[in-house]
Amino acid sequence: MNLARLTPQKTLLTLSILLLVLLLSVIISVSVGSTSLRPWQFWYDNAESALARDVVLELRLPRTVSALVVGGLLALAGTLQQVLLRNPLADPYILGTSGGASVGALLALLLGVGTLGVNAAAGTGALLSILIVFLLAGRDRSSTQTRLLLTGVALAAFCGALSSLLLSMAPDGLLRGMVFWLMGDLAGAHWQSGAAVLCILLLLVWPLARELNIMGMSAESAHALGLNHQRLRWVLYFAAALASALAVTTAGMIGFVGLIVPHALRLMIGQDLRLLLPAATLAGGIVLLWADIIARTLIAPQQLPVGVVMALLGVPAFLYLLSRRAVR
Amino acid sequence: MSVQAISMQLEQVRIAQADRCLIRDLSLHIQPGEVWLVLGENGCGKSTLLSAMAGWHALAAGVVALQGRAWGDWPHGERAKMLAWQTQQDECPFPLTVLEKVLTGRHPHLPRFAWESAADVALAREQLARLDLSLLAGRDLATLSGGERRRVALATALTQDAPLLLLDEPLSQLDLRHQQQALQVLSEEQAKGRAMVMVTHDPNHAHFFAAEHCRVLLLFGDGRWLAGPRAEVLTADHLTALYHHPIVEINTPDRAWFIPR
Repeated sequence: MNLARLTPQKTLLTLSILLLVLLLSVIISVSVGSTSLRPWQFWYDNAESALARDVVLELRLPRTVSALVVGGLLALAGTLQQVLLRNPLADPYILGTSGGASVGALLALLLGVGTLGVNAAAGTGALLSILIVFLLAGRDRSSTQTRLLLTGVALAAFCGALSSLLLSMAPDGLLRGMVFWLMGDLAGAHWQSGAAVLCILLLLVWPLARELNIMGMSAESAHALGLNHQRLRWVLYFAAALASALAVTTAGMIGFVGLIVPHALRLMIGQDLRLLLPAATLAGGIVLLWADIIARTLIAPQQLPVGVVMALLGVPAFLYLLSRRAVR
Repeated sequence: MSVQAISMQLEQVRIAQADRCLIRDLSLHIQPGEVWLVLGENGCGKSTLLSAMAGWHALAAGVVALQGRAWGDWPHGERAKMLAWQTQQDECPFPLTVLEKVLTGRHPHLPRFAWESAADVALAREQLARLDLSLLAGRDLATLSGGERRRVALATALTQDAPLLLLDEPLSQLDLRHQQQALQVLSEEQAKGRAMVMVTHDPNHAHFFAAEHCRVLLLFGDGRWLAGPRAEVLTADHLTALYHHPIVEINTPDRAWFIPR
């Protein structure tokens, strides 16, 4: 096999392996929980089986699909943001994109607009926060790009403060719903719109992968190789913002999926986005699914919020990556 | 491999950086097969001129045209088939192998859903071989030395197979042997009819190219410039004025050398 570059064969092989892992993870996910099931119980014809079917179809399967969709959205958003900002440490949670989305959504909840309004407000918030980061620090050309990360972190903190402000201003009747929404959870999440948007975004962005490869190198290279730099940048803005916003409205604030997944994959399969984009989407789903499995089995029958598990796993990984970059 | 004959015209071009005018009323006509060496002090606008010729840096005044058509009117994809631009900065924040980097030069030639063909890979490997980079094909760019990265960037520009090359200090950071090798490659490309505009800090590089095709552009950094055939422009007096340092001409049996006193 030729390791110096990505070939279509390697792409197909990698994606097949990831799909296989995904399928196995789904089987495990629907089998474990407060009652453990073995998959073959499904097809027996007795009362126990009927209960198993109910548990799996009504509770575990939707939750599993939600985890896959949200993980995929976050990993896709992270990968796109990394290309847009030319920084492998970009992540919708760290750079305040998710924060912007939640401020927008909380504001919409406070004003009492419908679900569509909440989604639109979350999307606008996410877009605004990416724009602010890019305008303030997009020209940071230093090798460590500290300014970019600091701007993002500051913005994330600002969004957190705004969220608290909105919560403290909320009347008691709305407060419970808003807090619940902000915590977010995969249980009972509505995955349908997220899944649709994830598919649409992938179909939109994947054909642009070779151009995005060049976008990630430098603006001048992109221009020299004949890319319409401005147009592509806007595509990336909207795609990354939409994916982050939908992840937030589906399952609340979950961080670090968009950081760890593309980073780990890059070490294994390289940066070529023709493979990295779909692979990160699949792997993001797998990682969040496993975080959720841990979240609901670790101290069962009690459940941990999946965002907490992701942060507990993600922050050490992020700090490790950051320190390794500083050394280089 | 035949090279399309193209020419670039600069008419009354003014280049400014912030509110400082670097080049005033520059008019040039770059013909197929010509090599233009751009010389000048640090910060005199050499890179900015190249950037403007590539259509990236906005002109303060004047027109850059290719084949008689204003550069801005060219579609993005067509432009990249005409002109390759090697910049000074080529840091990539992501892991990328040398071969992957060089293959990006094929991007303008590939349809949207096409993968690089065997011919594309062969062309890329050929350019790597010419610059003594074959053994590095699978290496991550970040692990290369500065000079090796410059050669990879040059190989990328050559793989783009454009009739006009804009090269921003392609030979800086290269060791002596690889400088000679790269100059040899460039003079081969010139012989095929490729036009080149090359920024360099060594006036002696001019002698690697056939005298009748070699032009020199001196940029004085205050708006003034001097352009013309090598024999007319490249003199000890002009270089002394350009670098604000005495430069003398030493004649050896086969050629003349310019060295600082």
